[in-house]
Amino acid sequence: MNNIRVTVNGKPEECPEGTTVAAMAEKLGMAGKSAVAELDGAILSKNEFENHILKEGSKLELIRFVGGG
Amino acid sequence: MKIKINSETADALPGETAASVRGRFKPEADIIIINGFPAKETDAVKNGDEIVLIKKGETPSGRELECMLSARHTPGVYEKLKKASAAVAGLGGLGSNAAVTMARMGVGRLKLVDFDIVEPSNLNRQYYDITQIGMKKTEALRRAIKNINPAVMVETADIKITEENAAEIFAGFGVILECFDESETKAMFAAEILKRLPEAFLIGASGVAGVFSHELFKTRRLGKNCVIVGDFTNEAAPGSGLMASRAAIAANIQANIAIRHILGERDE
Repeated sequence: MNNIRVTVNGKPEECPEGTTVAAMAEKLGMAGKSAVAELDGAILSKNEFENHILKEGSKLELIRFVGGG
Repeated sequence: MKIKINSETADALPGETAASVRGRFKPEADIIIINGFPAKETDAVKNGDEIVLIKKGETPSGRELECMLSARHTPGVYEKLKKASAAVAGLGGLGSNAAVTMARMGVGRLKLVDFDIVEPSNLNRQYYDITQIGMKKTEALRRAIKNINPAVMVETADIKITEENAAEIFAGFGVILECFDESETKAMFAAEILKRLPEAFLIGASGVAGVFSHELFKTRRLGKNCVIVGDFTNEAAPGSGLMASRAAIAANIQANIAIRHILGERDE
């Protein structure tokens, strides 16, 4: 499987074709954590991470929310 | 030569000084502020100067109070903020402190949303006091704000914010602060607001617990309409509490971002 190049939180990353936002979140240690993403301009809630796939050149911002306020 | 004295336009005489203006308009004043900064008696008065004369211990009402309250503001800021509005979701350590800061600065309309009441464990960091225990947070904070800056119009909603009602409660507000405690609620709210209210600017917080260094705080953007403040790591958990100093720093970073957004200042 070919790798694609993407930008995650402003940094270049490589990942296999077909990588979902959920898989990338897991790679960054955010599995099971409260998070919100923006993928190529679209806001994604946590339950949508599984259905969105990164493409060559995709820009992904992933923010983890931790409790306390 | 036109000047403003306690927000009223007046004529200045040739050679006018801070002391001569005081002598003509409010001889009993102890404090003379010109364009946001305390003046010396000998300071010359120029065309367009905004001068505030204050008698210590005196509580004026209405417009004069507003003028005195904002006497140390950067000139022009109060007028802009007075026309603006902001909404605060969650009135705990973040929300109560951020709302009070925005009220002090003169944001004209504030919407305060929370479903809870004041209880003793709130008092270590939230803007409440013992006399307010058992009171709805929305009402307690409305009273606190009215006692600081009565010119602020305060709306309250005593309601639990959910995925279903979030967009409706906050529709129409250009600046919204996410100030919840629970991580799930924070993430749900951010996603809902950013999806359903694309015109709104959302300022959230993540990672404000403990007594860790303030230097760990960062601000991160999520798209063009959202900034999140915090260290993104230190959560409220067994062994890591929520403390006034750090919660209030985060709250005031949120408030400062809100104010800068309202004033059209951009960080990029």
